Amino acid sequence: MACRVLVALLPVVALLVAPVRPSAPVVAIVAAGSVLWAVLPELAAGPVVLLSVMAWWALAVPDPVRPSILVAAAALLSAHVAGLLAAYAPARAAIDLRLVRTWLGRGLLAFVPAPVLFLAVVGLDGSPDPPLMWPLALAALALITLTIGLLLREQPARPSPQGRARSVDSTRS
Amino acid sequence: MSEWTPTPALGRATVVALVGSVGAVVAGSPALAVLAAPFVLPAVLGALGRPGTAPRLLTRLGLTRLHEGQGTTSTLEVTDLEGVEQVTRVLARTPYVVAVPPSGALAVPASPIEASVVALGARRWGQRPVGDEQVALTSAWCGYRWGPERLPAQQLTVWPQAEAYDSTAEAPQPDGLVGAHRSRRVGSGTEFAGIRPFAPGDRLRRISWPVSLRTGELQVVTTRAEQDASVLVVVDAVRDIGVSAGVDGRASSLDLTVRAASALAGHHIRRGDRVGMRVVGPGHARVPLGSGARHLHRLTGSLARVLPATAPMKNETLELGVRGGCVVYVLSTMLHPPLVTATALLSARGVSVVVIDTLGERPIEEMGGRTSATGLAWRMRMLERAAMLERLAALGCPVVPWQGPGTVDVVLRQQSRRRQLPQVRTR
Repeated sequence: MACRVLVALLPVVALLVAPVRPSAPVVAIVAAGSVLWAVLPELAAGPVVLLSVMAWWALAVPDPVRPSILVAAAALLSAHVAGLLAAYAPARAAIDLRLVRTWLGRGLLAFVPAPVLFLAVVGLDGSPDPPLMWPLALAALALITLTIGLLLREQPARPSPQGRARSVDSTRS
Repeated sequence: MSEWTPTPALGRATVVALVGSVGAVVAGSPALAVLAAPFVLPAVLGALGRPGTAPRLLTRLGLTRLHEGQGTTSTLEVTDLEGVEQVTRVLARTPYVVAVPPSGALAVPASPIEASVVALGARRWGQRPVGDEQVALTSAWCGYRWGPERLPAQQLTVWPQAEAYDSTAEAPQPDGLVGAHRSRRVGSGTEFAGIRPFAPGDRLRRISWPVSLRTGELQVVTTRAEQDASVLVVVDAVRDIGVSAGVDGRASSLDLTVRAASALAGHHIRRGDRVGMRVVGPGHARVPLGSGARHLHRLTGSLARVLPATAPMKNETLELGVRGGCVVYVLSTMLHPPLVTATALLSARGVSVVVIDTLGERPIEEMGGRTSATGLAWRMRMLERAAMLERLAALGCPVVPWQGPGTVDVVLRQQSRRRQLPQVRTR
């Protein structure tokens, strides 16, 4: 239940930490989407809400590269992790604390690129763009996309080589 | 057949990472790059963690037969857990079966698999389908999911509570060869019956030498024979009145009936008597007379399968199939006229019948109060029932409410005394 509450709240928090105040309709739309996402964590509302907040930051916030953007990034990532934990089981199920601890660690690890990128952007701010920077970034993205696309292809699952060996036995051994 | 499919979480991370990164490059927006960066690692590592196995899922109950109040476990067995990080089990709720965790749903790490054990406790007798559940396996970084796969329910047979019951009364009509009940006839038992002059055929070890010396002629001690009894337990499953709250809570009328039948059957089997059972209700189950632990198993198994009638039963004449020399316990609410008639006929035939009233205390508030339509109807029904029970008692058929140990002691002793008097029977 706590995970679902976080899913409903954190995208709105990511909006409210911005240096400019978001308009009421934007907050309402994001809040409604977040609640929908919290109720049905497997629904496509999740990416829509996250991308909406990111788009608002990119379009509506003048000079968005400030420390508050890291708070927004952390809030969006936390909402994603909370949604993921909420989707593990129905709302009536209690999530195992070991899983929560695992995902806290993973969340912190996943967050590392954000401050690195932030510092890089702040460091490069004011200097002229290298001529090959954006084409190289585009090529790197295309490579990543291709790799992920290949990995995400449907693969037929192969049968277990161990037959019907009980997992209990294997874990004991 | 299930297969590993990408989870919505992997899709979400991938879409946000890709759209954010592409948007950042296309629009030249560093803010989008910073916001999308934390989603890259979950997307990549989730996509890389696809297991290549096809696990098979199976659940197993620790016990498939147990008494109400006892517990068992439901264990998940998975073939080949390679690449599986997390297990989700969601059990369907079953009436009168409690689970630990109470929600019946859990999401735990896959290793060790023993962490996914669900404890189950049976709160009421009967046949309980448990283990109807959905199981899902998730790979590392929540990238792929196997299932949810539905696993079929298994039947859990819950016997009535093994209530401690004991009775010191003897059966009024012992009719077997050997047993624990004192017979009216003289035989080779241990209970003293009297002293009489020696007759040809008497065993020498029966001679009472002190009495013989005093009287001047040989006297022998006589003892009473010891016999077993035939006991028929009639279970009224025509109606279940009241709401059952399980083994520790309030009991419905059928709860009282089944638990009392189990206690009586167990008591008489332990004493070496032959016990039979007749269920008046759906199925009309009959268990012939028998003795021994195996037969008790059969009796309790039949009790666990008792179901109350859901449709009104016809008022047809009941034949309980009782032969002479049998003690009949009628466990009933005495609200089904054919059963009352059959009981009265048995009593008039000279059969030892004891009616055990299993209606229990039913507060009128349960019926909506004294002046509600249901309450009025209930009170009228209770008046009719009281008059019927009085007429039954006038026929010599005792009616006692079920109160656990010693419930039937007084009436059985009265019946034993009555058996020693001359009787006129209706044939």
